[in-house]
Amino acid sequence: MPTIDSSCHRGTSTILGTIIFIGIMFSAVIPMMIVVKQADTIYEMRKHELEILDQAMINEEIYVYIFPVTESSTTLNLKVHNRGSLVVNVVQVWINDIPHTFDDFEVQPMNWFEKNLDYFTAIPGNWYFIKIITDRGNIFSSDSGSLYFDTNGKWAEGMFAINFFISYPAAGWFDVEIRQGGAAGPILTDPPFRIHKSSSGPAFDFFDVPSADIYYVKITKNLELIYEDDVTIDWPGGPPIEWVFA
Amino acid sequence: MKKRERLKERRAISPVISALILSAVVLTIGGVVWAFSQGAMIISAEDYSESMIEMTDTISERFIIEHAAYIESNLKVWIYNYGTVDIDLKVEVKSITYPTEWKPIARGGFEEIDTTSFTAGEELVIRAYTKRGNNAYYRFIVP
Repeated sequence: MPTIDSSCHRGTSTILGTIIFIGIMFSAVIPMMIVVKQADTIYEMRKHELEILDQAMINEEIYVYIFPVTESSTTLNLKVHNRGSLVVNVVQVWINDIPHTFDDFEVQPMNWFEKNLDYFTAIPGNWYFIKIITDRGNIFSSDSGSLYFDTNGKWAEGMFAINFFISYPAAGWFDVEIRQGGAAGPILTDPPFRIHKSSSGPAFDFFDVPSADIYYVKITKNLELIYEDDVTIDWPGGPPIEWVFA
Repeated sequence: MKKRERLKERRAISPVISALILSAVVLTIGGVVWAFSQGAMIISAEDYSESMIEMTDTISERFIIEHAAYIESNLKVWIYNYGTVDIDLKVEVKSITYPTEWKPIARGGFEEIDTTSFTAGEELVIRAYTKRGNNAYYRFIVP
């Protein structure tokens, strides 16, 4: 009686086993690997997006000023100056412990935006501390300091100053000349006012001025003119501090 | 001996049937393994993607304690969720958490959380923490 060799049976089973193995590989293992890979990719993408958002948060550079419109006005004006390269969206302002939410306070780069806080009424004899919150989660306090509405219903004059921010490429000493009332006015920087900038980054300094007025500002370095312009401090109606960027 | 030789001659009634039986056994076992492995792989893949989504949400959380104030002898804490996911949050001051249940804050949302009264002049560390385990801190001196 003719018989089939048992190795032939094993051959059939081997072929079937191989087909099943390949089937499992293609229908279960590979799809799972693809899903895992996709999940990893989404995670990495999200991580990268968040790194960019965190970097954008650090790069927000704004200056906040709050000031009354007139000496006895009971409301305040908020001015936000965006010195950064990103659009800043202010979502909330805090006056003492009372928040106010905005939905249309967007400040373009190298621009400013002013808003009257008409929902707020000042009460005589109170100090007011102001800060703003941006949609990137930054908190910026008022650069013009806190305000006092005295018992006579008038805003107390704060400190008037000119702030200097020097990012000129060269490092070293910068001579600043300030004259009250314009270029022909009396000089205020006597003894000379000098700002030192290191090579590692920009320099910041400030100069107290006696009152709200027009000030002629000239910055030189080794007699080379860096900046020359009039700076107007208009208070009330404007911030008591003005910036000079050179 | 004769009986043994007779048995030898009778093995494999039909080679075709035996091949079919063997193939059927292989297919059945293979099918079971296939079904099991497919099920196991689907569950593993789903578990993995769910854990990755959860991890993505965890790293996406962004929130700050934007303000704290002592109003009517009560410490109030304001939270701003500036992240891209909704959060559930509690506030801890001096090892006591407020509120008892998780407070949900939608993305882009603000929330005020009431705590309790503290001694004047006390310096407090306020910790806001989420269900996913992220923290934000704030220092406050009781007026």
